[in-house]
Amino acid sequence: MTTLPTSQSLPDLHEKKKPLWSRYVHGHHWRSQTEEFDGLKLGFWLFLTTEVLLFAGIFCAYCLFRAMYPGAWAEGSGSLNWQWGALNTIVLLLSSYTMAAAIYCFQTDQQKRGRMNLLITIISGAAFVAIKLVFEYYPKWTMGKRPGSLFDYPFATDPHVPLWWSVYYCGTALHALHVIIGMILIARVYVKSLKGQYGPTYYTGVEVAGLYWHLVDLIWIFLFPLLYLIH
Amino acid sequence: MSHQAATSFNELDPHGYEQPGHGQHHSHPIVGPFTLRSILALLLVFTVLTVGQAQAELWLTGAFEIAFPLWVNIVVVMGIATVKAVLVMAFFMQLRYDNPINTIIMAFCFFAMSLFLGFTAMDLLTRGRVTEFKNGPVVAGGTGAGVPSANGQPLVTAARTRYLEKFLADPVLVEARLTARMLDDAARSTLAAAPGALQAHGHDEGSSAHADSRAGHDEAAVPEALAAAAITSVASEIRHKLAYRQSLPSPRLFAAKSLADKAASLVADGHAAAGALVSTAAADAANGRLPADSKELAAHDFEMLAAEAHATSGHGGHADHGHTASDKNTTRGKSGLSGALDTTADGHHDDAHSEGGHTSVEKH
Repeated sequence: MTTLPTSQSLPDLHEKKKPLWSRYVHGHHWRSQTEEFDGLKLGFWLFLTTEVLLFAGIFCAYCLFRAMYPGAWAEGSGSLNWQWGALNTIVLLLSSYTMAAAIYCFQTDQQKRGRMNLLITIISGAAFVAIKLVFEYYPKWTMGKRPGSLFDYPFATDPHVPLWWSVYYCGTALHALHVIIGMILIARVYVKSLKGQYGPTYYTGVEVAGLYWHLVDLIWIFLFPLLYLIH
Repeated sequence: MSHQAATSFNELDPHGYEQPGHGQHHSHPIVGPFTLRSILALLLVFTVLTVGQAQAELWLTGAFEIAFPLWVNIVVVMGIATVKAVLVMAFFMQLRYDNPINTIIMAFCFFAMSLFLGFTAMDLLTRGRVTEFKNGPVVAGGTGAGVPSANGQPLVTAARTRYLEKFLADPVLVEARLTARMLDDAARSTLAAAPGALQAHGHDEGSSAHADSRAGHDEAAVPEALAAAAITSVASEIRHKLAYRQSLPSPRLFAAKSLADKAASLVADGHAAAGALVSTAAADAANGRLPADSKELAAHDFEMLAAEAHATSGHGGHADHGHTASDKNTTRGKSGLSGALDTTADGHHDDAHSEGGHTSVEKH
């Protein structure tokens, strides 16, 4: 009886001391680790397209209502502080960089630096949400600049301003929710990296969490000029 | 990546995944720190550019009254956003180095998005082409028709009405705006007590704040002018707090305390006479009689608050900014404050809302 060639060598008891990432074996339903990596990434890109289309609904509402009620949009975007928007843009861009750098670090087996980059990414995400809540949502909400039927701002002039606030809150809150989900994903990657899960031959988890985080950045790259800069 | 010909054909691995050259991660590039940092720098530069464009345009419009068509702003800002997005996708998301199928998927997604936007726009923006009456704003929901808290008014009018009612009834609010009014009066009478030259500035009622600050600049040495400017600044501080709905539990105490602080700093700067005048005003603020109230005064106070809110919000002064597209579709004719104060039923759009239909038409 001949032995079948296997794609995986049997676990070597002497190799137990090796880090987890180097002992990673791909799922049994994949032919190779490359195929697994490419397949997972393809699937994740497909998921990202659904995310883009989710936000497309909000972008669509924004564009068409702007075309229909430009006065309300001018008044609404005029009452946003571009400084906070710009600061948040910078925070997100920096975190996007640290995320990409984290992938590089794990690819080159710099575990400590990789974890540090992941941590900075999570902290940046938290800073983004904090800035949004403390300097944007809270003062606006207390002034009565609220969406739809909750609207209670006495000094508005254009009758369609509540519609602007609906679009503003839907867009930014959905985005902030994505920031929070991204933070959770990266935290999970961080915990796994503590056990040495990721390294030069296996970093799929970092890569996929990174793709999600960059998408969050991508959405903000469009939301920022639409909401804050077009007057 | 040749499969090393038929010699190594393995029927358990017909596509040659186990062949040398199909090893682990060989095709996945490592994007190095230099590339990543360069991209980050580019992205930050583009962020500065895009903010700079928007601010420069507002500044040019304000300073030289150059009216830019709206498309300039939109094209520049969205163009920059697109470049930034491409950079992020190509380098941070590594599409440039990745399997092309991922790029194709994303490109198709954007194509689908453009179909979505395009067809919706084709519908909503051209409804009037065939039957004119279908042109016009969609009203249900958007402005509050059918929202119980709006009492049948548009949401914006309802919010204004609610606030004005509170403005007349809420004791703290009443105290706050009467205190501000009292301070205005105090500033005015302080100025009036000054020797001759100052009277020449002559300020009519209602614009006392401007007149005072002007006097403050021109005649900085005159104690009355200094004191009046200090008192007016406390009044506008109170109005600012009101306009931004910040908590102001006891307005008179706040006024007395701020005035006392101002008096102390005036004395410290060597303006003893002005300091004395301000501390008199502080005592008056704490103990003096508040002016009488009336509906007209409340409306006037509301107008001042609205001016404060508009002047200090976001871009500032955007209301005067030319919007080429806005004139066509909106009813901003009454955007002035006299319109804002118009709380009776004939607000902005009421003829349209009273119909209560699903959509209704406005003729301009």
